Amino acid sequence: MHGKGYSSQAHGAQLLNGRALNRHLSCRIRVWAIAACCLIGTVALFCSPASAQASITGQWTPVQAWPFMAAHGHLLPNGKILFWPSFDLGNNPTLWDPVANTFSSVPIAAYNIFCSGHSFLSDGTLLVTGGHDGSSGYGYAYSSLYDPIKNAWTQTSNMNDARWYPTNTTLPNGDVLVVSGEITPGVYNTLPQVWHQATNSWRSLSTAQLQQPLYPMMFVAPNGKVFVAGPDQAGRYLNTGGSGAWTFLGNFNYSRWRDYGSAVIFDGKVLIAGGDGGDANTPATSTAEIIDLNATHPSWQYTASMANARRQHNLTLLPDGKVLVTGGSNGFGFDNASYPVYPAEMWDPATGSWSTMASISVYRGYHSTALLLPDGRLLSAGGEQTGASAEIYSPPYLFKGARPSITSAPSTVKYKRSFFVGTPDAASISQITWIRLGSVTHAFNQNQRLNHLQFALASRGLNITAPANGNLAPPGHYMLFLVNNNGVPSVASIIRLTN
Amino acid sequence: MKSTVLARLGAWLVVVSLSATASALWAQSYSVVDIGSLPGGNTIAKRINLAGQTVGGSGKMYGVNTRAFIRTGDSLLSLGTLPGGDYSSAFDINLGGAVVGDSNTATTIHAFLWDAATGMQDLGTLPGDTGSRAFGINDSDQVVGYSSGSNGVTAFLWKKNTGMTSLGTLPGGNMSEAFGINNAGFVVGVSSNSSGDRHASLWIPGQDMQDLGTLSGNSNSEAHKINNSGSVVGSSAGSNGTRAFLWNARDGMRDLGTLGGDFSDALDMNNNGEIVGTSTDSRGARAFYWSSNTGMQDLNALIPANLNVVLTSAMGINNAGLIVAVGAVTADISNRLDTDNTHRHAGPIHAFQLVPIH
Repeated sequence: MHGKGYSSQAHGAQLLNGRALNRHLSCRIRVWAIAACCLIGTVALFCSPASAQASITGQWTPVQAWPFMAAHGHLLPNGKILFWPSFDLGNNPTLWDPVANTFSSVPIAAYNIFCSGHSFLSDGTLLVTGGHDGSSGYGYAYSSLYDPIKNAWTQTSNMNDARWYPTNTTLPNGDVLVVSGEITPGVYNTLPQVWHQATNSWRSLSTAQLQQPLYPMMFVAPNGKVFVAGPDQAGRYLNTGGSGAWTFLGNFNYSRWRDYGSAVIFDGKVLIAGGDGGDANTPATSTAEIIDLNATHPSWQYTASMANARRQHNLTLLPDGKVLVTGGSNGFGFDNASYPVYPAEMWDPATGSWSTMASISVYRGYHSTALLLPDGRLLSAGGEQTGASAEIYSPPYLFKGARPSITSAPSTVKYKRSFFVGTPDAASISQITWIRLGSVTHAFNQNQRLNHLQFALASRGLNITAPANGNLAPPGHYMLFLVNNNGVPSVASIIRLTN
Repeated sequence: MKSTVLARLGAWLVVVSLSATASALWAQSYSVVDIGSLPGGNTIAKRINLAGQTVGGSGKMYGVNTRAFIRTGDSLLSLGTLPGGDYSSAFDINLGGAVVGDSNTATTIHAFLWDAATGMQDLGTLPGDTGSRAFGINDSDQVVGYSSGSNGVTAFLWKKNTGMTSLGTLPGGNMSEAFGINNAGFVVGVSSNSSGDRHASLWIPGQDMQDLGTLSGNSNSEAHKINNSGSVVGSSAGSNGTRAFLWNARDGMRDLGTLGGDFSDALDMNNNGEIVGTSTDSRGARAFYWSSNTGMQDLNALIPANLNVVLTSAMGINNAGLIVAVGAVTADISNRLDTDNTHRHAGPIHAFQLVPIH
């Protein structure tokens, strides 16, 4: 493994990014000006029409060029974004600093990490499983760790066999489950495995062999088992103890399949939206469903449909508990750029309804990614047909007045324990959430999840109670947001949850 | 444009003349038939028997709603699933039309044997195990695959009169999988050894399991098919990539090379020693044909150039030389972003039958 330099094209992109940074800074100045405006006197009278609109639908930055397309993206504990592109260029991991809007190189992995699975370990290390062995449908049995502190890769022990398009899930004890992936075209890796960091070894769940579609949407449920939400209809639990066992839970209501749909988990509830289509005769769906895994007998229930049918889109959890859908196509076919869905939509768990938000500027479909940033903005990047670019969304909550601030927060907290967060805005805080750092590819984020946290007023701050156990929040790093009565979140403090 | 392409393919049979290339002395050309799909538009064919019957899995992309199929004549028949299942796929077919593969149940996966008279039969597992998969069948209806349980994954041989028996592992190994069986009952697959590496392995009835080794400098290999002459094909992997190999008892393991990239894999071989598989070149994955006379050839150079079809992997070849391959149909094969010229997963996979033109 060795470091790599940038091509002249990449340097050109960085120059472009410098101009983009100026635009970005100008935008931020406008944002703060608008925010200040809104704070003075009667809001409606003093705000411009543009800012008033932004406070309803949010606002996207112009598109900026990136050195590589972000087909895989990860928010690291240091607040930077690690990403890498697709196909033969896959082994070009790169860092983006969202604060400085600069790019820096990363050592390459020992093999092509495109089409891998990934999630974070409890210490903030990224575990990357499988990859692209020169030909589509051919995976690697390799897995590797990316250490964001050392900015270095370490190859771990091999999995049982190759995996191309696997899904990682960090478990309640910090181990990582990997499922699915293709060994060779049409031959699926049906053996789930669990990676144990302490022994650098894989444990095979050899009594849980099952074919799963590629990149299945997997979530740790409140009962400690791992729930598969899609894209196939069958919802199942995987008990990862011992040699493993599946139990069947029930099908979702949509009568077809949700391939290239997307799903998220919040407070033990899973939202799945869109997907299907993919050929010349079948449209994508606008439908969405939710299942409460806290229930004794969970079952899927339809929630409101999106305004737009979509596939190849991304769902992203927001600090106020809402969910944003970005990108995708509503045309026939696999990745139909002729029918892009530009408007974002926001789902409110309180009402079960979607609201149409501001539109992106370019098609973000197959191989596009979306990540929540610690400052509450959202990154939308990549896409095979759009290429190496990104744009950033400021949700409406960033146009609704002053943000609460965090003046102090612990770097590490333990389960069940109360911890103190300093803020001068304690009295105005109405909800506290934390969101696990994102790790996204192929329309599914394998690491993000949200918890609302219990809290109480304290002198010059808040006492917050960490989740009770790893079933509710696997160990690792979370963005802690204080959200005020206006629905405006603080900038996050990234906190590590440990056993 | 796309409809034009599909209409062109809809003609089903395309006859071409031999191209006058320097290598034409041994060059074989092929007519091409798109074998169609079950609902979902995605088909991965695996094997073809002497009667031209083709088997594999078809459904939506990425293994979504996939069903095992058999194609007889122009008819594609879904084989269904085992009770409670939401997936099945077929991996091999013998001369008599018996098919083997795997199918989900509600909570696990099991090997199946299918024939037209009895339908899909659950082959069960080794005693105490919970899961199984079947990958190969010979003309005596002997089936090989692997069984999985709390003690791990173990290659099996299934016979109608004895049921499923374990084939064990190499000395010191803790896993094995069987992928192919010839009419003499010789079985090939992969087993781990005492070092934890996975090596291509050969089971000969009455003998200890044989380690077929790897190509020089490699640490892992696996065998996919054995023909009735005892020749074996598969792949060997190391730091320089993955290479298709041919093995026989006299010469050992031979590197079949690539089409120019650093990856190749031999997936099937007939009793004439003709081999098919996939290899990368500068454009991505390409299906290959190999014989001792021709060496490795890109099958895309042996089909009509105007089909707008890119064959990415040749999966099976029968004793008459008919080939089943998978690939993409694209309106513009020069445009990487258009659909799936070099990267089949950017669009539905199509399966094709290639018929030699003599």
